[in-house]
Amino acid sequence: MVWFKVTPRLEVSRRSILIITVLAYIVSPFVVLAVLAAAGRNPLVALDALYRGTIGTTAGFAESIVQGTPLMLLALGLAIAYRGKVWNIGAEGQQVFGAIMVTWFVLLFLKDPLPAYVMIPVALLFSLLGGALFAAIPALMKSRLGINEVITTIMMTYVAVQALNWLVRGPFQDKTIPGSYPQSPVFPPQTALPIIVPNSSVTIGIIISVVLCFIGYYILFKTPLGYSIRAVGFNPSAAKTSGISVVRVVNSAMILSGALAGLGGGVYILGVTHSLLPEQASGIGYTAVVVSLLGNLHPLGVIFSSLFFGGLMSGMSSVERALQIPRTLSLLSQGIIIVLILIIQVLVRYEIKRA
Amino acid sequence: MSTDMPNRDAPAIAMQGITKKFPGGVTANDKVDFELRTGEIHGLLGENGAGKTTLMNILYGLYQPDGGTIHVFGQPATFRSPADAIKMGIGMVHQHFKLVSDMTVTENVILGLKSQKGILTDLAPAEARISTLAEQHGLQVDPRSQVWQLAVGQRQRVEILKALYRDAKILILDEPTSVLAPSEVKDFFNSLRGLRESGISIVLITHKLDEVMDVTDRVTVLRKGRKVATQPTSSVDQEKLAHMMIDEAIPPVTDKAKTAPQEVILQVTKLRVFDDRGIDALRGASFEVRKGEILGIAGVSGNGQRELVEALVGLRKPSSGSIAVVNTDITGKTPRNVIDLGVAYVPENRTEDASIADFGLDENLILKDFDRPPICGMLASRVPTFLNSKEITGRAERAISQFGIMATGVSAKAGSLSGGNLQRLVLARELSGSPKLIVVSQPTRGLDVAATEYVRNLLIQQRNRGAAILLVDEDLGELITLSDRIAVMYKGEIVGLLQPLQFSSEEIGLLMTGARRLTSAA
Amino acid sequence: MMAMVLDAASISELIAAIISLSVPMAFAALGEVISERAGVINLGTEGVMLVGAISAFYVSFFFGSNLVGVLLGAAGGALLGLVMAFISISLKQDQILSGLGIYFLGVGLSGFLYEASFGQVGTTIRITGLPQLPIPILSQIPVIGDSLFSQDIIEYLAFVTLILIIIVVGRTTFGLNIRAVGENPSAADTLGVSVTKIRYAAVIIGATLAGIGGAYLALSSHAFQAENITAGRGFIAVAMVYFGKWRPARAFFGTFLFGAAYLLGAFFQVVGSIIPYYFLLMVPYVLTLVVLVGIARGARPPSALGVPYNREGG
Repeated sequence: MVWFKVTPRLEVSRRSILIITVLAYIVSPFVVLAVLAAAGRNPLVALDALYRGTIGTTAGFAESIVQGTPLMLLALGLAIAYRGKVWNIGAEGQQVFGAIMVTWFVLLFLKDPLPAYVMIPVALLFSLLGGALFAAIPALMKSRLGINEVITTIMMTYVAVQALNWLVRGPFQDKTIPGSYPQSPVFPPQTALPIIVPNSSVTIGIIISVVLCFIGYYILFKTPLGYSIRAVGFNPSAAKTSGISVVRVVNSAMILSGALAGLGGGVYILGVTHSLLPEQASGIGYTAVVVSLLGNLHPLGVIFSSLFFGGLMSGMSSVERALQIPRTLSLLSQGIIIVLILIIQVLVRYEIKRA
Repeated sequence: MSTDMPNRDAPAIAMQGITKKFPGGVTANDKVDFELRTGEIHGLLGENGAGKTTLMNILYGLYQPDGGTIHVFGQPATFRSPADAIKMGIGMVHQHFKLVSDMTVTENVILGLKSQKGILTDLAPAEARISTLAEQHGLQVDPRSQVWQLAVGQRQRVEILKALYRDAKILILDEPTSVLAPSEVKDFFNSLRGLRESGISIVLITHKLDEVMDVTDRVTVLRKGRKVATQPTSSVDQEKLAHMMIDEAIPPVTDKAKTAPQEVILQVTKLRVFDDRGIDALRGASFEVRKGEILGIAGVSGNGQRELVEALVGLRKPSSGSIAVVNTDITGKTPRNVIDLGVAYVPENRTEDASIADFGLDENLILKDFDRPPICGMLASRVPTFLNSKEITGRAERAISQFGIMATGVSAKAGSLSGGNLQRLVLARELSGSPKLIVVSQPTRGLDVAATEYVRNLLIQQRNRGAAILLVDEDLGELITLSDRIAVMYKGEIVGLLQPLQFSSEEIGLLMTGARRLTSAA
Repeated sequence: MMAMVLDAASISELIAAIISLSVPMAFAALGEVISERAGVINLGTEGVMLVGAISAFYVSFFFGSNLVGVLLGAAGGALLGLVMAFISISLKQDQILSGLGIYFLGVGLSGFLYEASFGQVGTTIRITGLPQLPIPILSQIPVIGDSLFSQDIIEYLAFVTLILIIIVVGRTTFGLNIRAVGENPSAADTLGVSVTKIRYAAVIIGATLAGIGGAYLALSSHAFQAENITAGRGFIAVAMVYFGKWRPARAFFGTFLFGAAYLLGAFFQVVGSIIPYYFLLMVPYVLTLVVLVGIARGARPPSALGVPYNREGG
């Protein structure tokens, strides 16, 4: 019953991978438009809103960057982990926990904040450590007990989200405002990330993210750690036989990606929301999975794919406002885009012949 | 399928002009003609890589030919999958058994067949029929036992019964004796003769000349994908066959330098190791390997060799006993520790355990020392920094020229290398740095003649240089040629430690099957 | 507070509630057992359950028929199963990634369909659920009669399905094929069993059962909160397959443990306790982690699980 046969191509040129990826970028917005049209909405209005929300206006462009920045950090971490075939799906929980750790630190100094050049780096460090710690549990469960990390990281995410829900209604809640709002006190200005584009919310977060992507590139391809991660991802048996400690590699990959996710959560809370809110669990951790795939699991590719997605998200908000459609449309588009990417990857890497 | 009576005068199998190319440019079969007469045992002879298995896989429907025709008892046939071949009465026993170890013999035999009870499995009548067939052909085995409990020889019987159960009239056997000890081979050939008497036509794929002479009626020789000749066995002898198989003169192996016994490099004492199922695979082995000697380990696969090797290189923790390299205890230590003590390992599964297909040659060569100088820069002599691409490329270039690796460049992916070249790559990595102890398993499996000779000579050179070598090899001839001493393993114990004067296939064969024992139990 | 728990009527209600909460996961777990025994791990089960839920919800609300809703949920599951099978078997993509794609697809599809049909998320729209069908005589038994033998039809179906699955896996040729394909696909291939066909069937059956589970979840919850109705149940079902060591009955009854865990939050919210509400909501997830650690050492999965089959790969 096999109507066609799929065999791997021997050499896949870097050029074809690049072309196909760019093609995926171009096709994706049209996928969204097609879905909208299928739902009975006017695609032309949508296209216009999409354009204005992404690169058409300075506000749109700035918003693209703001949305893309935390994505970039999360996707970078995931790209590294996935290279080691460590399937961290819990970036969402790790970024939430990173934000929780930042909040804890900031609330300690709420009355008497230290100067910004102390508060900000320490806060970001807390977010990094928080994410790393949160990822350590699934890391050890996988490396020492062989437990599937997809399930464990997803379970941890649910735990983090419930912890968030509890904290913003309990110990971290802002009791000084009337009524009972699920939110922490507003952070003092000494914790706000400096803005680099006047009259926008574009902060140094983007610079941090891009720099880390370059560092990530070097780590992955030019250091022993990156080499061992890639080796284990490709062939754990050969890696182990050659003396590489698979346990250490798995732990490193998972904890590193957790740290970067935590940092992403910290950059988001210090750059955009300035307080702990239930919205911290925005689903960005799941979007980052798609973003890292679209970036071909390459730290430099992630720069482009995260900005692209940031643009997509900003554009979609614009479309939602223009056409009055719900947020879940983005989720649907993401699902379709993942499937599209996988299919495109197949077309690039395999030959399909009639059997 | 047509309903005509099969033509009994026609040959059982007639393959004409069969061509098969694989991606990568390899032509496995080049316009091969092959004919199997009814009621004959036909040997298909050739060295590793000559195309024998490919040809038979095509006959069995696992591969589709790029050209040529097949006729079975005179009927034209196209096989899109083994199901088609089975329907036409063809059965195949592969070199690596295709059995589901968790299922019983009966379940394995009836797999893929329609049941009398519709969707429910009908085990009782199947069991009965299997027992009958087993008795009939001298292939006794308990249908209720689970396959993982069976010894290798018994599993082979199950494989044959699978074919007989399906009324196979044509039986293809791929290197069936590779898992048998010499005395078991005798019984096996008698079974084959019995099967021939009952009218079954047999193709025997082998690279062993003595077997061809022993049991076949006719023999076809393949060489580098082409058919060289088909002859009645009575009209040839081993020399003629060897000449047909291999065109080039085989250079003799470098002389082993005569040396006086030197210091002990590897000391194994009363080693016990469990296998994956928690059963004693190695039951108290003790031996030593000295500097400048090759200790061969003989034995039918599955008698503890794998567990021994894994324990030596740190991949498996022994349950008791000790291993010492140059007087340093390494029992239960990690592969990293073992490597750092100067132990090299050439595993039997090159693609899975010794190389990373998606990495380039250069990246494969640094697998063991990528985090230390000169490959990696260091900060304050303790912290690894960056990989040194100049050093890495340099090492790869040297390896390519020194070991004669044929590849498109230093970053050619290891997965694109042929078997022989991949082995050269592995050896280039493992032998650099003059290792004190080399553990090597099935070094020439799947390699062509040129590569085989290269590897054998390389091992002798290392021995002459002063390395201690532990050689696990199923190829008895190779083992005898290369080893200075031979330890024979049977059921997890060393049952004999032989000096060169005692080397003979019969002697080793008897020890391998437990018929004789020269050492006392540990 | 504790005294309240002990009388017969409450125990009965407790059992009934646990069964009701567990059945969706039980269906999904049974389906995943089939899929994994054949060698394919489907992490998209969560997404499949969501699709099943929205399908049943839609039909129940607009057409009033619960059983058609379940059928549509099953169909939706089958469709997603087909996509999963295509990507992971025919295209030989990594099963983990393929499953994730299905998960995202399911989340997005179900949320979008909900809002396309019903408007904004958050507003709870209620549907009438399934009626109870007490078994005569047996339902008179004290305590368990009112719960175990007075279930609705889908709950009974769950137990029936368990028995069917046990029979199929252990005693049919199809089951034999599934087991062979999951342990040694090459062995099955050389005997003419189509590894592709069997795996496709197993994955689609698995997803269909998960779709039914999701459908029942919607019908028994009487309401639908877009992304959170499953709240990780699909992943827990996959974890249950590990817990049950790939045996249908063990995986099935394992999910009851989690039904009880989900119950805790609701129970204590009503009764009041010192443990913060949100901590109780964490219980199912922490429990999953604990359970996984507990059985980690003994687990031996089907040998070919997670590996795409390549005939000419050797």
